[in-house]
Amino acid sequence: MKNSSKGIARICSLSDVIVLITSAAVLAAKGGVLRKAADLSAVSFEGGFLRDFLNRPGGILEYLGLLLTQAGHFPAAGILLMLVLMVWAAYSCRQIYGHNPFIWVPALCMLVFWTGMDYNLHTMRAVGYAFSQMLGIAAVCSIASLSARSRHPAVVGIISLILLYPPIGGYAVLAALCCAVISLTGRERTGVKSFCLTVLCAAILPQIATRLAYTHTDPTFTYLSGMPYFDFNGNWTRWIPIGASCAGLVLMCAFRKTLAKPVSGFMSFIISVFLSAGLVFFTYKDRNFHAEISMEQAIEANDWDKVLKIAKGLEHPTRIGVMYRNIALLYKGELLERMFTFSDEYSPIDTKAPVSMTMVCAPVSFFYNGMLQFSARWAMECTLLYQPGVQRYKYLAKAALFSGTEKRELVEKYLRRIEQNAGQKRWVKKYRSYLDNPELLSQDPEYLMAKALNEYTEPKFLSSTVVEDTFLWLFPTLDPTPGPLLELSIGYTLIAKDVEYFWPKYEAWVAEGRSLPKAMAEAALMFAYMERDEARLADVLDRTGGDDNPVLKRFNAFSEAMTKSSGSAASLDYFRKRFGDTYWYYCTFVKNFDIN
Amino acid sequence: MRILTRYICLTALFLTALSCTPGIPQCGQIEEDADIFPDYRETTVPPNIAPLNYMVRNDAEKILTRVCGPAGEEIVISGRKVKFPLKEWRDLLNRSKGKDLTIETYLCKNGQWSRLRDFSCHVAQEEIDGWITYRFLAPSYEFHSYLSIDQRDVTSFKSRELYHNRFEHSRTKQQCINCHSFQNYHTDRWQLHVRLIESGTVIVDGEKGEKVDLKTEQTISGGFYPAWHPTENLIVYSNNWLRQFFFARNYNRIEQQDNDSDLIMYDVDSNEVTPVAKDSVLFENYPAWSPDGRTLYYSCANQPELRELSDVELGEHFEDFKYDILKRSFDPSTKQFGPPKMVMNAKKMDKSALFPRISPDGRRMLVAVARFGSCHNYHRDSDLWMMNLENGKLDKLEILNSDEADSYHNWSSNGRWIIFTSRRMDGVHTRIFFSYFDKDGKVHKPFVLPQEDPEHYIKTFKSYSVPEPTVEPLRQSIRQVRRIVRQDALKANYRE
Repeated sequence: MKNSSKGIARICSLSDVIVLITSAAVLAAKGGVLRKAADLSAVSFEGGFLRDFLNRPGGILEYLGLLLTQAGHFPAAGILLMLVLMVWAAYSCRQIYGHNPFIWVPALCMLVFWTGMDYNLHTMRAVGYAFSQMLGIAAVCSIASLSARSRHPAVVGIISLILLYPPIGGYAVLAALCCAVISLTGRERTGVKSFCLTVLCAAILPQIATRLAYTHTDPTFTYLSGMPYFDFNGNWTRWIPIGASCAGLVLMCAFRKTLAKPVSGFMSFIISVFLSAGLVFFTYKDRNFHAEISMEQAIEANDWDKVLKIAKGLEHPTRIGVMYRNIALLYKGELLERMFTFSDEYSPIDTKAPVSMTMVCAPVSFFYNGMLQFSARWAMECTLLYQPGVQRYKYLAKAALFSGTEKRELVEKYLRRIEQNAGQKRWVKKYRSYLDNPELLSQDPEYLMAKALNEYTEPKFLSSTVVEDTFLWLFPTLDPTPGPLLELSIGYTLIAKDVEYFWPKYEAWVAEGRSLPKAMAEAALMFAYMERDEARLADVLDRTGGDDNPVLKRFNAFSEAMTKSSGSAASLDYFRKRFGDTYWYYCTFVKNFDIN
Repeated sequence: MRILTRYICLTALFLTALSCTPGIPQCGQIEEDADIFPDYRETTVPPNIAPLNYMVRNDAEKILTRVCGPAGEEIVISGRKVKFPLKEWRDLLNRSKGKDLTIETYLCKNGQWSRLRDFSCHVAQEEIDGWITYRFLAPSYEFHSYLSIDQRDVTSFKSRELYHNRFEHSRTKQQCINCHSFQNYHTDRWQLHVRLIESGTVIVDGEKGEKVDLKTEQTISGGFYPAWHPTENLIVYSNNWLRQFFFARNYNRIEQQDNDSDLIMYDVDSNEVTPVAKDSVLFENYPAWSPDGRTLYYSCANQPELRELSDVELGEHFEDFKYDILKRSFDPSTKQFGPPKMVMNAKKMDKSALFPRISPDGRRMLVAVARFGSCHNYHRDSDLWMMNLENGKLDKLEILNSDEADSYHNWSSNGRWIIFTSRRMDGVHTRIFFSYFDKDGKVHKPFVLPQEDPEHYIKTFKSYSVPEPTVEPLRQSIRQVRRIVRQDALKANYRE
């Protein structure tokens, strides 16, 4: 560098800054998702755990990815790490084809793989994928840059393939291909021969390694080891960013001489803006997805107001969002007051992946609705179906601890695994103290609620395959039991629109001397009116303020509007605006939503 | 020369220092027991068992353990984890057959040494079968990830995988492998079920291995629980139509229930399936042969009232299922079975008895007993009972059982060791336990299969299930087994 300003320009141009700032902003917006990815993964430093990774090619890459994913528990650190990996990749590319905006292509494509992650996040089997793929491509860029500066790029490629196939798997094959292409375009007179030899080695050596050394690997996935080849079933487009990153790098190695030609500042700017726009465009921006992750984290922190604040902003929530907000309402004692004051325009989860709502929210939803064994069941199943995760172990630990029927050793086993992960010591300390001091446990609000919600006789045949189906099946049918269980039971009776089960619970509620919350009053009025039950109607009116009460007035207005309604979309809009926060609107207009 | 001499002396000194055992402190004994994990105190162990490595959980800065043999030989280990060198352990046990080992534990706290109460371990005369094959998997219910069939050398810590399902994992399905079974404790004939991907039953007979589809139009399903005839090339299977359901609050978490079950016999040589017990009223399950191969024992639920129920209604009556143990005589020359006879009327005791296992001398039967049901693996009240087949006397084996599910039991080939699985350690993950059954008919305190790392059972999240002892290791390599699994399944023929 001749002087500092030129030096700075050499290190970092405007296009680099644009790309980095955009990447940082997108990553910051995805901070909650990164934290969720960390929660859905679990690292261990025990020999047996590490041995599993050594038993397959690319295992070290996955393990390193898993370690780096720990940074997700502190999102700022995770974002910084991701940016560092991107810069590493870009800097290596610069050694190959000079300083131009295309140095960011491999890293940006890999970043799109992460930022484009949709509900598949909840069902990923590949371990450490948040960082392992970026780490993999950065390693490939490094090897390719070494090869570009070497006199014998093919030799670099073959050596790196032999040394690095075990730890980084398919990425070592990619590195060898890059080196092969570089040898073709390099100074070597034997370029074609080197190319062919390297490609041949890239084709054969991994097959030999898989068949001879790696008995735990299906040879079908020899070239994809270290990549998430068990994932994205029915959602193949998720492979496009990885494919684009790999193919892009190989192509740019092939055309490195062309790319090395100077690019004007204006063109650099345009290209970097285009690349940044592409990152933003292909980032998954579904509001429900991000909101549910935030709601879940707030639920686990028992921050009910935050859950409801997020819920209020959702115009078209999924049933996951609805279940989460109902949990918050229940724990605030406001379920029957506010449950129908939110938007009733539900939408299915927005994903091409074959992900069911059960897979996304079962441990959380079952746990906070008092069904500890079902929560534990799904936490266990998801651990096996997908991968072990801190969050899943937490529900296993809490369910075991709260149930009172499990052994201390079981709880301790889960706690021990959880505490090996970053940022979990305080959580583990809290629940370990409950093991040593049951009196402390008896003061825990979650425990008290779980206990209260468990006071029922189990029906003989209860499925737990679909979360909300279980709730709709069980809670309305329960005998009225005082406490939060009655509130929950009435809540689901109203969701199910089950008049027959409603009245006994209504009787139990009023027998406790409690005033009628909004949703209950509206439902009671509507049902009594529909059944032409004068006695019940009189009772309801009496409890809601007599003949002149605002609930009755509003109900009369609703009834009148219904009589005059033409049933058109415009009238539906009218009802939504005027009565969207009532049970009558829900009962009349909200039908057939997907709970699966 | 002087330099060489100095070098030799220094090396000798160094080696001497290395070989020195830590000195045993002179101190008084206190009234405190060693808190060890796993618990090997006052157990009876075979002379060929791997080192019983354990850890001392008592609070101390330093810990010293001395194991003393009857003739004064000893092994001294320092540290919380007591890990015995294999060769020394084997020598000690060989010299201690029929006698006791005494284990002394010394703790140092605040610079003061004290000796805890000693405990002993009796070394039996009789050895245990050298290998045990088991399923190694996470304790899931409906889904499973990586699972394998492993064979462990119980005289050391070596184990290997016979087969695992990683080869056939796909994005949408997971292969399940189960019910490995050997003929008469040997490995020249054995079998294994494969489900969901490349499904079928792998049957190995000497050098020949093939995959068979045991499902026929006349049977409920393919083969389930196997019982290989001790001498003939015949395997009796249960046929089951199973389902499971989960509890929100029930202590048992899950119930696996027979909606229907029968028994079939598969003739390996002729590839034919014949019915053994195909009663439309009875639920027959869990076949087991007597050692002479002339009697077939099995569990049977005789509840015609349940047969009338619909699928859903059956699910509501799961607590009504009570299985007895029946037997049928068998003539190997004609391959014919006699009529059923009652062996153990568990229903009368308001119990359900499953999984009969006859001792090699034919005099005793082990069963798993719980309050109800057709799968005691998930029943926390499941215990092992022993019946004296000569006089019908039942022994509840209190010393063997725990407050968690104790089930899947077997006898060693010499009839001196009972091998079973238990969830007693943490209530969820099954572990393999051994218990000595002496000549006087007494059952001794069980001990868990030893591991090299004493913390292994704390760290591992996988279960050991279906332990099958053998006197020799399996001969096939994992790739050979895989080749058989990948074969097309040969369809079995049904014959009445």
